Amino acid sequence: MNNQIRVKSPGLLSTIQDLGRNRLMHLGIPESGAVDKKSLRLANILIGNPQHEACLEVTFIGPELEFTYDTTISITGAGAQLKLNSQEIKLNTAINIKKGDLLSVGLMNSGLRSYIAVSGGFGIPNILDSKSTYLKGKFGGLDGRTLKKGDILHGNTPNKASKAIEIPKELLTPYKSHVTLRILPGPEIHNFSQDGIFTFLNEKYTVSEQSDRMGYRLNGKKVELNKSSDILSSGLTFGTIQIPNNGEPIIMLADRQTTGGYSRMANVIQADHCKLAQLRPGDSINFKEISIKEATKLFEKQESLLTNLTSKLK
Amino acid sequence: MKYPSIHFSGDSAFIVRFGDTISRKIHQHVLTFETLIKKENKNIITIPSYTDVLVSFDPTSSSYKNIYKSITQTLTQVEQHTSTSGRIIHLPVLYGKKFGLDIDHVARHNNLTEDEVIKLHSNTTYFVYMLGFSPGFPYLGGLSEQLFTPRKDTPRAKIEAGSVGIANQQTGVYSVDSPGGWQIIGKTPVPLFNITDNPPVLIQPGDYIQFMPITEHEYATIEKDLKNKKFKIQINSYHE
Repeated sequence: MNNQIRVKSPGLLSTIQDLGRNRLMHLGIPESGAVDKKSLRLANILIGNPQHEACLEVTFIGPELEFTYDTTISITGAGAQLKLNSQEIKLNTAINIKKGDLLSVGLMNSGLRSYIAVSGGFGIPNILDSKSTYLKGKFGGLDGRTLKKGDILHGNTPNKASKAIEIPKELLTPYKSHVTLRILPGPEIHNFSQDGIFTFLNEKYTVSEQSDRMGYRLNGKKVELNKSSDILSSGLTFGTIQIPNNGEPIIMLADRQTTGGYSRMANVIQADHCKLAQLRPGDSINFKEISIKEATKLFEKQESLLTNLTSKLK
Repeated sequence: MKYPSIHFSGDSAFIVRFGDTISRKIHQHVLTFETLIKKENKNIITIPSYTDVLVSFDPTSSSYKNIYKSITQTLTQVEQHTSTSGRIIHLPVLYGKKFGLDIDHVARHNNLTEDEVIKLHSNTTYFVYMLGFSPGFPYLGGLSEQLFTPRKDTPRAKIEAGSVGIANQQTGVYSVDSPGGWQIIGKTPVPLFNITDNPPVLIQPGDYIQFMPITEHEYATIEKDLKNKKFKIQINSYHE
């Protein structure tokens, strides 16, 4: 294959991710996949890829990539200084690439993770039904690791040119360093004291430096339990908030373990996963309880906007 | 609490719980329910554990109301039958020494010597209730009450693959390097997860595990044999 994408500099933490591998979680194999799934889907929609196609998830400092063929790409998610050769380019739009072009994604200045999609997708094999990289397990994506200097990625044959579209504002999640995340109460909420629940819903929590694709560890006022936090290990979902005996919440993300043994206070609703995914260490969070009806409505609104956007391309 | 109980795990999943202790009877309900609910709903994803099943659904194709209804209907059909045979896997473990970071803590917590901890842990045949936490990590039932030790209050940032640990009434083996809060008493040189194997995990739910204490010298020999593909793990059939 001659459609090469050469890695001139890899960025801080760049991995191949798609929507994850969720069929083997009963064997303890984590879901992985993009942390910000909505941004990955948008990146694919913009250039006519299937929504689940694998992209490069780039974190905090982006890569420099040289293309050896004509194609179209798109970049979504966190804002960064984006350049094609020396020309500034835009986030959230399709970008035409000519053979020899050098793309550079600089330091993220709003949010934490950007997604780079190439027309037709990257030539990456499926491992256990997904192209996603699982770093701790050292498999998937590019040999289970992050991008490094000198790597050569292959691009599949580009799609036919698609209509230029703009992402409607309601579908974008502007980055804020303080967010309110909406939650539903979790299965072990009764293991926390009334004071503990009040603390959790009223105090501000800060994303600690000890955060990665597995989860965010939060610092803040300790949440009081009325018994030990330990439970018999049980299944976790993206956005599950566990609180160990030290009283400090942990929010589970894409590379989370499939099961966990700490009491689950709450779960972040799906419509807020994209907000959660872009938080940087040092950013802060307030939690707000809503009902399952409201959560479902918010999710359905987001999905119908995504469906409308896809249909505009046809 | 009354069981079975149904809880939300976010807006696209439920936890269906059958009890709050490790028991073969409760676990059989878990597995039977999982089989039935998967038959009813092709697109759901399940994670069975000791006492509950996580049921995740795709909210673009099914509503939480429909899944909830399907769960309550399925619960009326859960019957019990307990199987008492399976494979037994003999897993060599170097207890204490350089790998058993917390064996002294486990011993002190339970007023035992380190040798007694080793004896109690390796004299039991364990039943594999579930895989979870990380690829191929087995959660085992049957740990002697004399070894129950709570998890660490703050989890360690990294525990090496192969580490054998205790968390309250549970014991298990870390299958990949990962953070974790279990009390570590030893390590097996045998990998539990290998992406090129089919299936990629050594141990399956329903298997039995027997730990075999080994010396540092034996550990080194097994490591070498594994590298040269000469080591063969001992697996037999087993009836309770």
